[in-house]
Amino acid sequence: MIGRYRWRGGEEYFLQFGEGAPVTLLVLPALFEEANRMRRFTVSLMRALADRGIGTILPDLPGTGESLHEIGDVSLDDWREAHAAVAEITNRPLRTIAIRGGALFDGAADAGWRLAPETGERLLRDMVRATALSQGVAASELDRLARAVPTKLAGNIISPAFYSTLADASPVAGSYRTARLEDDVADRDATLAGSKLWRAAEPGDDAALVTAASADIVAWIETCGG
Amino acid sequence: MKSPDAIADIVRDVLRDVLSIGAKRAAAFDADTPLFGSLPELDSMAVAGLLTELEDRLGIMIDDDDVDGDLLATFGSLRDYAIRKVRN
Repeated sequence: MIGRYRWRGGEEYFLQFGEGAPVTLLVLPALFEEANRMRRFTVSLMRALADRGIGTILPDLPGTGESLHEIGDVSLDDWREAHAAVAEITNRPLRTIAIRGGALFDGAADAGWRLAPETGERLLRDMVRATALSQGVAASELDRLARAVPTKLAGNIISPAFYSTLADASPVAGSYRTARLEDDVADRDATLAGSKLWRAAEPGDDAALVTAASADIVAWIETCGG
Repeated sequence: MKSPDAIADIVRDVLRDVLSIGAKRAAAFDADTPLFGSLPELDSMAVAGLLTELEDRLGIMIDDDDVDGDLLATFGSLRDYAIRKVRN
């Protein structure tokens, strides 16, 4: 179902699967262009979890999806506030599924599952590079510009405050299970077979990755005490 | 150190992921296969992801000043650049 949650800046929509399930997880989606590329996978994963008796809630963040806010007017604190507001709808303890840059926002979770978590610096680097390539300007120049004035990066206008805060943001340490794909190079607790949908030029889905990820999440929930 | 063939395979794998093409099509890439400007999927965002993946999987740093149309002109030019970077 589609519902609404209220945060200090107004109302946003959320998508919910598995209503009434004993466990409801908050889904923190990938950011910016990666969100578009991962959207189908994210919803497929939510459906797969609902089939296995686990509920999920996926919020539109301020400035994304159906939000009435412009992304350029949004701060990172707004996103944290929105996450906290939508977390009120899930049950306690708060458990999260974070995809890529979504892991920059799961710090309030009692426990969390992460798929290929990424630092803000590396996410921005891709966006700066893409913009530099398409505009024929130097990446270093664009980085300087983005810290000074609102700048359009890979289709999103980002405020200097948002840019600078995101550039310093990293997933926090804690009670998290990190899953990565086979050819990913960083640390992980679980290795899943599948394709790097966040890199694919066209939004796609990966049924095998959905199956592998949902199975790992179900096993992880059981170790958390159901 | 990775052999030139192993590096070529990694470049092929990364292109496969970024372009969402089958292993078969990626395996058919040869030195003269044109890339940037010839493949509509390979837009600037895809190129940025391609470079980051190559850095991660090959353990190299790609200088943004090196990134231009020549580097991405063909599979051969991208592969040869990757081989040079791994050696340096």
